[in-house]
Amino acid sequence: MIRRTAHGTASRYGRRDALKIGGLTVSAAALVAACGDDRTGDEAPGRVGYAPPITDPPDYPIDDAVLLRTASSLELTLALVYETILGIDLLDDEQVLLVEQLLESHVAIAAEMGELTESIDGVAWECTNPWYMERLVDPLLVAVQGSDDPKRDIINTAVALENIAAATHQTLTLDLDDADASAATIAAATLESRHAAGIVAASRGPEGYVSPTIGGGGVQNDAQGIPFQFSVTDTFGSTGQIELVVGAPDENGVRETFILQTPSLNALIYNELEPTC
Amino acid sequence: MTPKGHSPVDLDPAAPPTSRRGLISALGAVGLASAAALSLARTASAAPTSPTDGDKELLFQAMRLELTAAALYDTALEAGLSDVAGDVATVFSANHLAYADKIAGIAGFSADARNEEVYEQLESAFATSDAESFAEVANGLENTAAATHTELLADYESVNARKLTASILVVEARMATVLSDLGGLASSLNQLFEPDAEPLELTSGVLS
Repeated sequence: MIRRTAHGTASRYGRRDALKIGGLTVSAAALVAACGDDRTGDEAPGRVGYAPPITDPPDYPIDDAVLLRTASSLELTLALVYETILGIDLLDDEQVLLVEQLLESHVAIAAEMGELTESIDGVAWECTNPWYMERLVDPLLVAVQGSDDPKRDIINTAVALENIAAATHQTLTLDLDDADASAATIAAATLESRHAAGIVAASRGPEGYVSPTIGGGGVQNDAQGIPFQFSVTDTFGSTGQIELVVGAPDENGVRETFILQTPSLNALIYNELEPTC
Repeated sequence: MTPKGHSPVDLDPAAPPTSRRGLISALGAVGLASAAALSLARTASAAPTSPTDGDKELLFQAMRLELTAAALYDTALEAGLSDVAGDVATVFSANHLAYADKIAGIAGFSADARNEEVYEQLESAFATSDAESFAEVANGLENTAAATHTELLADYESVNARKLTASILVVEARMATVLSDLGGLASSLNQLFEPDAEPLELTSGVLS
């Protein structure tokens, strides 16, 4: 294409063409550089924007003590959530009794996991899980306390936490080598499964017994668009992630969604970690 | 752990065998060889993936128990159980059938043999259209099934048998909780969450 300048002289290339050619030149140079034998420097994938730097998980060994310390940390995290819930002072007498029972139960499981840790010459973990606290519990509690219906969110939070705790123990029981520890974690998974089912049964009654998804139905939401909880959520015990929707809607009607997952490398309480409490 | 409350299902063998409670109690007596005899020390890191021969013996018994549970729920439905209890029985029957199918699948045998001894002992108790009676006997069955799988879990060697069993027993615990609520069976939260339940001593039957 030929473009004409203001002076009436012909030019073979316009500004757009110059940009295209420039871009192609830079791309070709990058390709040649990447294919060269003498390439040096950082081999990590490039990043765009101002995202915080990625923190690699620590490269510490994972043994039974680490798994049991993680179990303790998770139980104490749940205990802290229930203590906070009791402090909000929104629940009726029956719900307070239920939450007190749950609190007592998680403290007892944490103590049992601590004893098992020491029985295999580990150091019992007596604090909450810092990773869960920072990334899940703290923002979750803020959202619940600022909610348009805190009581609904407290119940949904309790169910979700019991479900993820049960799933965690269900996973741990397969990973632990120590027979006593494995037995204790499946007992905890069973108890916490009962907790989750019991909370839903107490709050929703027969409508909450069985998820319609088991029979091939769809997920049901309440009038505010929040998914209903169910006592029996799956045919087989799931260890997958759990979505929890809580808090007041924003100006677009969107509420916060929290993703709960069983502990992975970044949430384990390694033997090398110092107590955080 | 928190102290255990009184169980809605009395597993005391002194209970009369004709009562519902006695029938559940009698489950504990249905056994021949102890499953523990087949157990071997487990090392998770060195565990085989597929069920071993020892696992298959136990899985066969577990599958028979699951088929029995499914058949018992069907018995209640045939007796006219309806409404919420009927809906629950329908789903729970299908769940137990799914467990039997899955167990048979990983072990490589057919899911076609229920435990007749257990079935006969519980059949009359399940043949009811009364929701409360159904809830009581079914709650006992689910708690017993969960306790049985929990005991078997410690005896399995393979990863697949352990993984599947863990995923079954936690849902059976949930189903027991639902049935407890349906029948209004628990008089305390301890009783609801930590019911007393004894595992069955399963027979070491012949593989089909």
